[in-house]
Amino acid sequence: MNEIKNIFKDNITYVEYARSGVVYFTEDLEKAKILKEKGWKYSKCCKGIRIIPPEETIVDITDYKKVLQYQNLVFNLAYYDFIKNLIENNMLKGYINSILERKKFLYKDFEYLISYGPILDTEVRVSGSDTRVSNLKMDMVESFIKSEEYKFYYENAKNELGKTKNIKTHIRKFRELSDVQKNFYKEVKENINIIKEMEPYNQVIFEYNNLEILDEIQADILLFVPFGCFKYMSSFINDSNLNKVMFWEIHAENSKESTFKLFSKEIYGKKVLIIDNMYSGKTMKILKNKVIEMGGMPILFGLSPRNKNNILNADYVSIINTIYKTSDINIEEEDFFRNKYVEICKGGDTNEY
Amino acid sequence: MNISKEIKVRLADKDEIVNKLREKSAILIGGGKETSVRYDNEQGFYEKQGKFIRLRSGLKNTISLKEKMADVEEDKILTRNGIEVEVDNIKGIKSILEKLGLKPMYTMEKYRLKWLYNKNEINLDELIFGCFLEIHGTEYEIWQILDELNLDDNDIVEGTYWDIFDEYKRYNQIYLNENDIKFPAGYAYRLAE
Repeated sequence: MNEIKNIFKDNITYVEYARSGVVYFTEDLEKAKILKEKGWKYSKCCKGIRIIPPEETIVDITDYKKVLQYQNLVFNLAYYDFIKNLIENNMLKGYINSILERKKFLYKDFEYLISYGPILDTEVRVSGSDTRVSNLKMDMVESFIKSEEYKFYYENAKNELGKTKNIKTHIRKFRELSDVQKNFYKEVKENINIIKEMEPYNQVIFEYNNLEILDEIQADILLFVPFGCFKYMSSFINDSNLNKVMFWEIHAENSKESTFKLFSKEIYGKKVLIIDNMYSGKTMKILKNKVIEMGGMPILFGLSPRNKNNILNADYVSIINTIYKTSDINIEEEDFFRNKYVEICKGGDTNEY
Repeated sequence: MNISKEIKVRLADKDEIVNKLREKSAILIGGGKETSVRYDNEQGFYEKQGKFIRLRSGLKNTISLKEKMADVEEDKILTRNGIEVEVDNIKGIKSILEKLGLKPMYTMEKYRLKWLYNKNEINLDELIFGCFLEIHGTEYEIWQILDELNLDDNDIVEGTYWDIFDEYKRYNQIYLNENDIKFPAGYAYRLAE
């Protein structure tokens, strides 16, 4: 256990995507196996094996799936305010340490890292030396609820949000898809499984309330970036646009290997809608430049921007379940993301959420 | 030892109960697979005395001792006297129990979503024989929550998940040789959706 703890502590880095994190490179398969058993994830790279520790999002206010993780939009906002206040007063580490101290026999030899960086305005992440980081996440939530401050933060959020909208996802099973879509996903799976075995179809569908804004673009190509795109792709693909889909794997981090394309299309003279989750925005920038080099017209659609720079670098962004044309939004306002959260979530017809 | 009360409600539609919990501003604390192993000696000494030793791993690792209360009539609300302690070393505890002559008798797997409803703990459980809502609290709080969630009294199931499994086996004539409640390989948890 000590070895794992030391690997964690010795490999904290401000990684290429502009936030602190732990990235460990090794050529030692036995070490990789031990770490994998403790919940670390690995991938092959030019330096051997790239391994990252288990991580949890403590709170998030722009990602569709993550804002729903507590199934309570009022609580999510209250918790965000609480955690942000701790961060601003340099007290988050102390808060977490007090939890670890209370349960010290359970968290023996456990190390954690709060991920900081300019790209993480809207979420707070913690990585841990092993899967106890998931226990820590639950302990943090329970500790907040039992705290003296809880009532203040919850009432505050409740007063601000009032009746919240019923933002949710729904399940669309694979068998419910049209034959055309079934064949599409089967073909995607057959091809990408050459690189990595995974299921490209996600049955959890995000219900964006203004998807038609993307239709107005009249893109010729929808360019997705594997493998992260498979979480949300099914929410955008339908029978009439799947012929426009193209995949291109590109990494901003030099250490990650491989690039590949699937369903390559002629890009010259075409409008290419590039869709990707936004962190540093580097991947999108690389793809944008490549599309331009190939004579295409790139339009950037960034999902769940984490900071204002993301918005500046995109043409469209989605915040929770709403898509915005970035030229229509004013990012100068203070607490921009928090205000957007309130704007999107408040105003429910009934007290459904 | 603490006295705990709980009730179990069979759910036909897990989405319906999730929507109800959201409507009532419940908070989802976390979720995951849990494995509980009941320990006893080969003669079932403790079970015969109404005592149950359980080692649980998953959301939390715990060891617990629960006992039926002789002076309490068992009805729809399950009342137990018990103590549960969080542990850091499940393997170590297993070794201790086995050195004391206790053996793992039955294993139960479930996928659990842990909710907080006002101040009450509510668990949404999935086992191989169905989904259930387990509500904890005082008797008054339990009936109040049942009422607020508009749950049908007819869906309340009596007994433990072991009792429910026995009835399920008898009624459906499957898993008849199984004492353990385990998910088959490759099982996709509906609650994880």
